[in-house]
This record gives sequence, C-alpha cells and structure tokens, in this order.
Amino acid sequence: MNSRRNVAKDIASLHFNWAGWFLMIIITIYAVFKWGILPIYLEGENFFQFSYQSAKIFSLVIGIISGGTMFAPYIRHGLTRKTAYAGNVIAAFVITACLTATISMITAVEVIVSDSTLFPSPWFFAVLSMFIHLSINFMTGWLITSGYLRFGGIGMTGFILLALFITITNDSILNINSGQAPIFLTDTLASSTGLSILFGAGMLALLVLLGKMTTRHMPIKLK
Amino acid sequence: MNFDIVMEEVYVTYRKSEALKGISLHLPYPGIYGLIGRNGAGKSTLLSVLASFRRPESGKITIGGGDPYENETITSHINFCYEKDYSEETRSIHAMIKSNEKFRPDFDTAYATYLMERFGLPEKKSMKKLSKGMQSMATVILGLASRSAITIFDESYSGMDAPAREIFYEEILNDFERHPRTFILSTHLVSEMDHLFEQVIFLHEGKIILHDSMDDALERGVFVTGRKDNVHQWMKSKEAGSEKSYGPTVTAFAFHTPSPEDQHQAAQLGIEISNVTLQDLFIHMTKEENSHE
Repeated sequence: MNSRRNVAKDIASLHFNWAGWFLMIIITIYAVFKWGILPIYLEGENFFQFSYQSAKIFSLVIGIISGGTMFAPYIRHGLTRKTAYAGNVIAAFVITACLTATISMITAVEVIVSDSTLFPSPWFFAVLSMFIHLSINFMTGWLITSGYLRFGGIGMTGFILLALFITITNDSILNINSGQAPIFLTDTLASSTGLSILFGAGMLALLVLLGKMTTRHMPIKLK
Repeated sequence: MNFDIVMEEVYVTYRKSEALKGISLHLPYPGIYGLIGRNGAGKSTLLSVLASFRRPESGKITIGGGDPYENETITSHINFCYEKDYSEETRSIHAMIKSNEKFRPDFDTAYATYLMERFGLPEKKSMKKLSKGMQSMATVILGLASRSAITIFDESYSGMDAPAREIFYEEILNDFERHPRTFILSTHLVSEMDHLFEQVIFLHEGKIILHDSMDDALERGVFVTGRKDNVHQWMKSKEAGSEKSYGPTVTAFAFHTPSPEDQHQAAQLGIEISNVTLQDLFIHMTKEENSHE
C-alpha cells in the first residue's frame, strides 16, 4: 500500500473538482470581458495574464482549506504525519502544475485563434514562474491553517504575517505588481529571469520545509 | 504480529494542567478492555496518546515492543473511533468505506456491508444528513470493519439507541471470537457493558486507580446490610465507603474481600454480605470523599 500516493490521489481528486469550477468561472468572465459583452477592454491582455492573479488567489484559498482539513484525517486513518504531509505537498504540486498547464494551453489556443494576442515570452519561464507562484501561494495558505492547528491563534497570526511578507516579497521580486500587466513577465524575466525563478524556487523549498517542521509533532484533535 | 500495549510513567500536560499523571499500563494482546472514568478523568487523552494523536510530555509507550509514534507499521493497525462531528461531512457511509479501504490494511468491506444492513443504515445518504444515532452507527461500523489489531471505541456508541447498542455489543463479542484483537472500550455505560470486559481500568483525575480482571475487580468490595451497630462492628479495621440508612438498618460499602472468618462473623452478627457491580465499585471509588489512589 503506497500511503503517500493514496493521500495525494485522495486530495488531488478534490482539488481537481474545485479547479474545474474555478476554470469554468474564470473562462466565462474572460469571455464576457474580452468579447465586449461588458464594456471592459482588456488591452492586449491574454488569458494567461488575465487569470494569473485569480489563480494566485485560488491557490491561496485552496491552500488554506487543505491545511485545515486534509492533514489530520489521514493521521486518524493510521498514517504518519510525515506521510500525510508528503501526500499534501505532492497534491499541491499536482494541482498547481495542472492549473498552470491548463491556463497555458487555453492561452496557446487563444494565440493560435487570434492574431492580436501573443503568448508571454519567453514562454517557458512564464509558465515556470506561474507554477512557482501558485505553489508558493498554496503552501502559504496551507501554513496559515496548519499553523493555527499546531500553535493556536498566535501561530496563525505569525503565519499570516509570514504569508504577507512572502507574498509581498515574492511579487516584488517577480515584479508582478508593477502596474504594467502585459510587460511584467517579459521585462522582468528578460532582465533577471534566472534569478527570479531561483528566488521563487528557494522560497518554495523553504515553505515546504517550514510545513514539515510545523506538522512534525502536530497534535490531532478529536473532532 | 504482537500488539501488546505497554505504557510506562506517561505524563500529558495541557498548558498548566496535568491530564495524565504517570500512567503505567500493560494490556496484553488480544483482549477486551474497559476504560472507565468520570468526565475529565483523562480517558480521551490516554487513548489519543495510545493512537499517536499526540505525544506524551514524558514516559514511554510501546506496542509490540516498538514505539508507535510516527511508525506506520504500528499506527496503521490502530483505529481510534470517537464521537465525530459529521455536521460538515458531505460524503456517504459508502464513500467513507471506500476511503477506509485505501488506508486500513485489514478493512473488510463485506463485513462493513453486512453491518450496514444489520444496523439499517442508508448507504448513499450524506453523513451530515443522518441522525446523531445513525452517525454513531457509521463510526462503529467503520471501526469494527477495519479489523484493526487495536480498535478503540471512545464513547462512539453513546448516541445510538438501546437496540442498536445491543447489536454493537453482540458484534464486538462475535467479531472478537472470529478475529481476536484488542478492543478498548471507553464508556460511561458501565452497567450495560461490563459483561464485555475481560479487564477493567478505572481512570480518575489522570491516574489509574484500578486495573484488574473483571472477576478480581468485583471482589474488591462488598455491600454489608444489617443493624447499624452490627455493621459498624463488622466494618472495624476494614476500609469503609459510603453508607445509607433505612431506619435502624444500614447498607455500607466496604472496600474489602471478605475472608471465611469475615463471613462467619457476619453470620453471627446477623448481617448480610452482597456482591457489588462494576458500576457500584466505580461510583464508590471515584466519589470525591473516597477517591482511591
């Protein structure tokens, strides 16, 4: 019995369900805005750029839900904290990778169909950047609720502050909030792509490690 | 595989209050053990520690000679069933059985299906829509069908009605016969369940005040009924519990196993010695004024 894989599959199946709803909603909103049903003109923006921020918020939210509800049940099933945490991390990477891939593929189709739209360039770094960004947000959300379960209200406050710090730092390093949405990827990645990605990956590794430390001796409540 | 449970000097503290104060326990595998204690005695904490839901502050726990904490080869064989809050559980019992199949190595789906029929539990209805009693049945079904080497029921059946509890008691005994394992039953329903226990453990204020076989536990005390003076004379040099008066007659509880001489003296004094039930013993041992440690 591969417990880690079973945990990951169990959680991922729920995540896919939520992600399906998220994508349906975001595609609908994009279609409404893009084709002028509502008088909002998305100047040169493609689906990738349009959905980036929303996907980040979605990842944060499902991270928060998962941290609070998808760890303890597996310990109650007789698994170890180490296994349950590993399953959660695998599921987090699976959902963020699939979300990134789906958004990228929809954008690719959009680029092929429409002459006026270009995929963010260089595309590989753009996709990698999104994956890392979504993963960081997921893990940050995950830590907020697991911090509460481990350390109580003080722990949750600490992890919320940490989440704010990580989000602000990460966004500024990747220049997400420059106010120049169509340029953020090309500009930043063109000048310091490797460094930004490396920074994001380092931060993600740190969060995964922090999660491991938080859950190592987490008491499981009877509820 | 051996699943003998050994606890040595286990302490658990919540902030500043000690929930468990130096618990030492040996529960040989297999067996049916009754864990009895008043509210707040530390029963759930003791069982949480045993199921590795939390780590003790100090002390040692071994199951089959190994430390169960973060040890999946052991914890996968421990199933701790308690009164769960299913108010947000949208899955059906059928879906929960499927989930248990994945993680419980000895889970018996056919037995779970049989139990669902026996309890009359709707298979497809969402857990949160079931009545409290039915939710308890679901917990019990998952616990029994897990066939875990160590299956712990912590008041998980208290929401069930009397006929359903009767089925549960029957199933415990029948399944124990077919698949001997360790059952730990924590309960307030002492008089209803005492026929199930091989050994009984009284937990009071974080300490074990009694751990004995059922037969030996019941020999620890007697009721003595007769005229007040005669009863008091017989009780001299014996540990006395509480006493009730009915006119000139009193019934006193004695923490004492009467010897043949005691029986003879009682006959001479015209007093009657009668056996206690486990519930009587529990009540008298955990009353504030005669808490026995």
